[in-house]
Amino acid sequence: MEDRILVWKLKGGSKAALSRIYEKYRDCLLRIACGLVQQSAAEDIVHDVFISFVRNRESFELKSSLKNYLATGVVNRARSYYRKKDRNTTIDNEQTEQISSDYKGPEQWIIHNEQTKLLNEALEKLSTEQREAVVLHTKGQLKFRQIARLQDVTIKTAQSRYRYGIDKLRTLLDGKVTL
Amino acid sequence: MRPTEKIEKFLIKNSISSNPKVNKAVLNELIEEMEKTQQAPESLNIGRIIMRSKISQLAAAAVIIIAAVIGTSYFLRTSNGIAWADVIKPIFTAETVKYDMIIGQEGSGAAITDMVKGSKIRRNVEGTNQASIIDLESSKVMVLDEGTKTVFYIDLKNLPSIPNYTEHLKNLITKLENSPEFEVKKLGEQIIDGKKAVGFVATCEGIEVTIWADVKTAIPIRIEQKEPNLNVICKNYQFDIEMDDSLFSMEIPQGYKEQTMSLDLTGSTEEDFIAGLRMFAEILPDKQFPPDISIEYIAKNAVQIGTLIEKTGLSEDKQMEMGEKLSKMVMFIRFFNVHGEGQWYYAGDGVKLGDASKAIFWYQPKDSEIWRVIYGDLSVKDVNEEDLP
Repeated sequence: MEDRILVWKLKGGSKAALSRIYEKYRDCLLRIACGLVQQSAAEDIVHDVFISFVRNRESFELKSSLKNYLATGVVNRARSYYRKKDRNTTIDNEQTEQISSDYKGPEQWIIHNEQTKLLNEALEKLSTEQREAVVLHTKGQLKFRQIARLQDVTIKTAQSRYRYGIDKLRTLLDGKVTL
Repeated sequence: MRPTEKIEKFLIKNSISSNPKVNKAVLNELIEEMEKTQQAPESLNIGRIIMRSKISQLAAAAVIIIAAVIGTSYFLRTSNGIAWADVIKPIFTAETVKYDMIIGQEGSGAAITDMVKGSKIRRNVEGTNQASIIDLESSKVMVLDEGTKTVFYIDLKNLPSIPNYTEHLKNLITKLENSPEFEVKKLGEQIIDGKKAVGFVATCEGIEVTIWADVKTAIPIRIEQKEPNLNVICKNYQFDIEMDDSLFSMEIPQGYKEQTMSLDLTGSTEEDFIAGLRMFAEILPDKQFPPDISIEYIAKNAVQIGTLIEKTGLSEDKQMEMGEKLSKMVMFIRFFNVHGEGQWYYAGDGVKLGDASKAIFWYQPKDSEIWRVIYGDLSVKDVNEEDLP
């Protein structure tokens, strides 16, 4: 319910509400984005999701959960990123245009350790659908019902994608990390 | 632990963190973006409101009243001095006045153009196709919508008496002249709105009025009014210009269709104010009191408030009642000088309806030593000044 109040206040121009929303969901979105795409793109995506949310706040209607809405923004942008990447083996200038308001700060936003790096390399080897299911459930704490809706599949399919993804990760990380 | 559980645990545990310096930089950028895209107060977009439901028409009426009353009382609070006397002379003697009024901060507030003749105001709100004619003497408002060729007549029953614009102005200036608290300071010369101007700031009863006048003619160019809960800027003054009576006619123009409604503003007592607060909290998510109840805030959010009332799904009559409660709450604030001394304080942001432990509003009634404090459960207590929240 707190989110409804925050959104109401944000629409009224409250900086405190914006700050609260940002602090509440920033790290979760960074975790999701980082699990879906490489670090620099993840930072751009989260930055872009927040900018877009602020720009469209007047017309925004909170229908389900705010976290779900923001996470969907991250997933959609990540998919778009991969579509572009598939077309061009390296990200060209077009990609820069696609993520319209890239974060261009001098410092890295996401800080991670060696194990996270290995984990992200392993996640990259999963299919897009499996990766989404695994990342959204473990990093974003989304329920399978929400993941299923986001992927436009049944809950069973979302669970199955998750299970296959986890099994594959276990094989990929076997002996490389301390479980 | 099964191998799959181990990997799940590893995934959850193994997480990234974010750079605090970048976190702050991105937040600042978001705030900047929000300020950049902040829209002018939607509530004053009468066109958009009126095109919606009946309850929205009521919201529009409330906004028109708020604005009308601001315009009037604003002038009524102007005052006197030495060179100051020259500066306020046109305000005293003018038969007609035209000016642009901004409620809130310049650039973010809605711009209103008023033409005033006697007790009548012809009002145009920036970005709309409407002209409103407000007759303070008969408490009637006519909104002409050019887009839909419709005339809306709004009868503001029992609007607190403001019989004659100029007479009220003169009375108040005389009253202020006799106030021992009244003080005027000269601000020197500056270029204001492209003209060389001399400035004066007058303070009285917690209100600060700054007047910038043309150095040659002493005619006011810009007047800024700051109250604890309200900012109003008036500029581009033109005094004693020709204004045809037809501009203030309340007759229905040919080819226009007619709609009528009425809004009863009887009372606006503390009980009305409390009823408005209750209604406001009841329509908000989680039954919390609103972040703010200032006129600026309500004007800015009138469309959203109207939508929340509609979303209750109550009958149209009930919705109208709710709109009326809200209007009376606004009137209590607007005519605070009738009800109370000094300023009022609001601390209801985030407080839930029913929370008796938190004070949400307090004010000092007129001619009273004690303060009235309203709590989250809407109970009211008399409190001495030293015991205020």
